Amino acid sequence: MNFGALLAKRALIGRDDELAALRTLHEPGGPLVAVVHGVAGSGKSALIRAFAAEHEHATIVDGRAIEPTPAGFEQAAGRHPRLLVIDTFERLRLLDDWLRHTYFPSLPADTRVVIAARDAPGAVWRATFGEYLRVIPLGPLAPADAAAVLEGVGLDPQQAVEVNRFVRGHPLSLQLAASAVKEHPDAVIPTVTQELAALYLDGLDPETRAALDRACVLRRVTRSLLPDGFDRLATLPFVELTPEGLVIHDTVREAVSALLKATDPVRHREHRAAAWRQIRHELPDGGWASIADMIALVEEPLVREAFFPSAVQHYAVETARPSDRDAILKIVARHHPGPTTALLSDWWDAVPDAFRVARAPRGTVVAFAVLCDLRRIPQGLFLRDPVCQAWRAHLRAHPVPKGQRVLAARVALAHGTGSAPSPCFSALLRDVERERLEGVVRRVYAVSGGAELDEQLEPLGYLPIDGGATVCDLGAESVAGWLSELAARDLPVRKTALDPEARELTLDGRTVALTKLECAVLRYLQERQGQVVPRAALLHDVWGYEWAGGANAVDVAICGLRRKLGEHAKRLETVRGVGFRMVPL
Amino acid sequence: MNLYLVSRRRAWLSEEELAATADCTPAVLGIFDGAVRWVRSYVFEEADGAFSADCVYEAESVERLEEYFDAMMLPADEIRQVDRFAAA
Repeated sequence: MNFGALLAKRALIGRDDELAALRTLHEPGGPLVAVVHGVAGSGKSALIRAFAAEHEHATIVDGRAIEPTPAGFEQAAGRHPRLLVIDTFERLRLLDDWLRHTYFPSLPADTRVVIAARDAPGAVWRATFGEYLRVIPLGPLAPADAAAVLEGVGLDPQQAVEVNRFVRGHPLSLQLAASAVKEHPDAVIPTVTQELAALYLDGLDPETRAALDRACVLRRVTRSLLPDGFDRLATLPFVELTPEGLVIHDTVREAVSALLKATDPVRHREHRAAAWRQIRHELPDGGWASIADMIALVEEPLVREAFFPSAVQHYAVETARPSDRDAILKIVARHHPGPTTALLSDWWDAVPDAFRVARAPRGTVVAFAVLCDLRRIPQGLFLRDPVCQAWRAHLRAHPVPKGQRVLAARVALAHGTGSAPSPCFSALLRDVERERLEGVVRRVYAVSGGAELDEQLEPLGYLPIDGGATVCDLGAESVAGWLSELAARDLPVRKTALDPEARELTLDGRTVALTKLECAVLRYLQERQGQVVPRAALLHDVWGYEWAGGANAVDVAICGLRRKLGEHAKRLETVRGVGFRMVPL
Repeated sequence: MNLYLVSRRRAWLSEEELAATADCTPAVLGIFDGAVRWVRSYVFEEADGAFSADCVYEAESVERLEEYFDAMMLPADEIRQVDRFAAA
């Protein structure tokens, strides 16, 4: 046992029954998976870490600190852990299906899994694991144990009794209340954690408080996102250092964010905008972590929910099995009797793996969606399906560059409610949204599905095209660019700005360094935006000598500028025989 | 067809779980091809946020009804066949 393991054991008070329940994992015929659940701050992490400390070979995976993809999880957990302890499982809801269907079944028979989550496992989990699942709810600490915790952090017995009268054994509240009472001995202890957090926050020095305000809008705090405040925050009792950066306890983060949003919405927006600019800057090389940081800034519920689901998943969403064919066609016939059913049957024959289904606990198909790469749709289907023809006509008129993916979402239907908003339909839409993260997706074609569906999809950027179809173009930067646009809505983010002092141009949130000459030319043209600027004038005013003809200095500078403007190069127009014109960037 | 009154105590732990059950019902009933029909449910919210319900079904037999509950993963605390109606 190492030093950390000893400390993990020491911290645990009053959880003997729960520890005993976890130990049943090792009994013959005992459960394979144990789920500890309770509200934020109820001591789940402390409990499962204490249990892990009893083992030589425990692998601890923290949902906050890993990439929530199969690859990210496998990297953290390994293929054959002996005891796998997963903390903050609510951050891994995206992996729910994969864990239940693929990862857990692949583990050796002697592996045991312990999970800590905010919510009790849903019906799908109970159906999957049956008697092999042990659910351990974590309530408040008993009064004697709460007193032991409070006395352990330096309160006298009388203070401990008074504090616990208010926090009623909620472990995080006990810690916060104890710190608050030590700082403000005369304080009246309020009842909820948020208020306790506020009381604790009042005692922070202004710089740390300001850093916390800036940090609370972030998914994780890295040195680049919070250069001045990183070290200040690292020392706070509710902040943990993980491989991905600092993670602030959710309860405190949510409370700080809500407080700031309510009391100073302008500053809240400014912090989000500053975070947006930095994340935007890091996006091209930041990989998954930066994408996730950006998603955390998006307020659009469908997108947020797709990547950070806030509730337990009640449906298994997965690729359809051959036996699902009839159930799927039945759903189609129910909502679109007639030729559409025959057409969807052709789709099934051509691309069965494009069908995704949402299942009720025992496996009944309750909804399905069809999503695949447009290139995989065979020619015959293109000819028969008028929607495909509409997609193709649009694609011909607006081709995408080589190497960028085009997805086709043919239909999504729920058995009961068709394409009207419903829990399982939303689960399917989220699944479609997630698919965008794979490869460089440029465009998603879909079908206009009536006012209710269009209303759900319009905020994501879907526009109607001819033939009853819709299209969502993610832009040249694929998902990164699309998400940045979504996050930038309502944020005071200036997308393009020229900083002549630093000789930098901010373009779509990315910073482009300019030479002195390029900067001068761009500034000159921007000041005359929309007007035709003669070569001679540009040369005279920027270079400062009379136009002698033949010099290609201007062309070299313009050419360099266009290269740096990238996809915006066309905004710098050549007016043949005269000069140049800048249109707004 | 017989009429049944089914009691479920704290069968749903959250509002979402309850909504998910309602959402799945038509599809699962669909595979019973008329042998089971859900008439209506009276839902109660318990003090701790869980939900209980008394549900009325029509079914060919109690066995078919139990088959349906299994397909929905919805345990029943009590199933009683209704003998007669009393009008107010």
